[in-house]
Amino acid sequence: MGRLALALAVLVLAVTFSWAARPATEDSGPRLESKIAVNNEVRFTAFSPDGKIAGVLKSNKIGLWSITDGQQIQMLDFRTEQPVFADFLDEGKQLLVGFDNGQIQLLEAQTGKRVRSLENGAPAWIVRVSGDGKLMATTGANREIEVWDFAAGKVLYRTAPNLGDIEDLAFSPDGGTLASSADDTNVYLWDTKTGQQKAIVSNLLLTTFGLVYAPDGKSLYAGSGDRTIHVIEAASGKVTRGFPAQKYPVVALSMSPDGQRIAAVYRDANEPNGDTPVLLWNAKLGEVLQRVDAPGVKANGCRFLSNGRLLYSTTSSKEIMVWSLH
Amino acid sequence: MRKDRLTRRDLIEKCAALGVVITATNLPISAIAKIWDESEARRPTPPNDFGPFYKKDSPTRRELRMSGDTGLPLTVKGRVLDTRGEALEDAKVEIWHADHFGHYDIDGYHFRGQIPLEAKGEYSFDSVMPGHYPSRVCQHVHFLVTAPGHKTLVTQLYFATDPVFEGDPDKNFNRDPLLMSRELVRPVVLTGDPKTIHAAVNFELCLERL
Repeated sequence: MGRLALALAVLVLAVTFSWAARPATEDSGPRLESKIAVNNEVRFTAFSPDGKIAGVLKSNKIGLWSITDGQQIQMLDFRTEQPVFADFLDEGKQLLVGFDNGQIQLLEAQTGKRVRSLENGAPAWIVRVSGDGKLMATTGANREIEVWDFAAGKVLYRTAPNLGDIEDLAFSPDGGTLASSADDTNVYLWDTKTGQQKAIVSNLLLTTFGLVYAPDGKSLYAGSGDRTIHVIEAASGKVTRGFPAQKYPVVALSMSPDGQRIAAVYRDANEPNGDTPVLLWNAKLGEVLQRVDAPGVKANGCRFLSNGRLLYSTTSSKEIMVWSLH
Repeated sequence: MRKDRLTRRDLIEKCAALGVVITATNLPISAIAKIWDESEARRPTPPNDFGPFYKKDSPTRRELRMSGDTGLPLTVKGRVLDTRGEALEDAKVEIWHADHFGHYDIDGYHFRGQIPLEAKGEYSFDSVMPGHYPSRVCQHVHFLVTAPGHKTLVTQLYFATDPVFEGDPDKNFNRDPLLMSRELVRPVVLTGDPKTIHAAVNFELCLERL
């Protein structure tokens, strides 16, 4: 009976894979890199710098696939524990997963073997690790920010905004500053050594949902509910300019390794299940380079690779589609 | 709140000192005053999620409903008090909610406002019954209430008439995973004739001292 149930479960939950790449078009529009059939709702996805995609499924599983050859690498089953965050570390060799029971696990991406386990006490919806791998910042259900000594697995200090949830966290490239945005509409800049507040960006009227630093650390980009990407001088916390407003609020940002381009995911604030256009911006000029806003596009994670190629996924309850933009 | 106002505890201690009150127990006056205070204490209004749709710098006004707005006209009124029932006349009340169709205004300040307080900590505003925001279960109004010397209150007002409760909010209030307290679901009084129905809700806001 047990074996039959297991076999049925495997059959029902089996993730099939099909490769459906098409040649790049001359207009350099988005290219469909792969189409992954999943018989499950995809909560979110994450990309590794070496070309893997992780799909967090509603069945408390995380599937890992190679984008380049279409092979399934792993199907990790966490049974009763629900992953609420996942991202790759160490050039894609490791997978960092946050669970709804407050646990954070570091796994070998290739094998799924657990490397380390940390107890956060509350579900961590957002987890960021500094570029040098020394610090980890978490936030989630407890509405606090915990800054950890990542190697020691110990919380160094906790801090919190005045009101509401924390919507995003970003370490500066040198790891000296942690930027956070909260539902009180402020962006906070924290000194990571002391945990003290360095600056508050208090003149944004609506919540910032996406934060990303320029590679030189001089500018912080804040994607906001006011449909705009604001450029903040990182040293002072002063808003210096904003990109032209679009139709929907910005919900996520990603910066190209050379700092020349920003990918922004937009979402209709009043229709959370609606389309989610992706716009590629010239980071210096604040001009749109490419626009992917065809009806039905539901972006669910994006990342630049080291060669400057942007990967993003669109998901439905049946499949993950991986797209690239050059 | 006036700074020179006596609390119940101050009053009973003063009366005792003047010989106006004589106790018939072995308890000291301070203990009796404390017990009296606590026995009459109000529970602070339960907090609720802040949400991602707050917008700074909303205008001060009590008329949030504009001519031509679709939706059931709604008046919300109440008092801002501390846990001893003292009016907090210097409190600030800020509210925001979705329109009849469940949409938040992020371009302007429609259905957003800082509500001016009247005497005795009373507030009221006119608006429309909010619709159902697509990713939320219940109709709701967000409140941000501050007062010097008191903990900031972030909460939401819900309506007993919300179809989600199917007429039984006692039983069904937790159909919205963000609604943790039945106390936040308030009765709705409907008045007027069928052509001009108006909804009225009383929502007392009770803040804890720091």
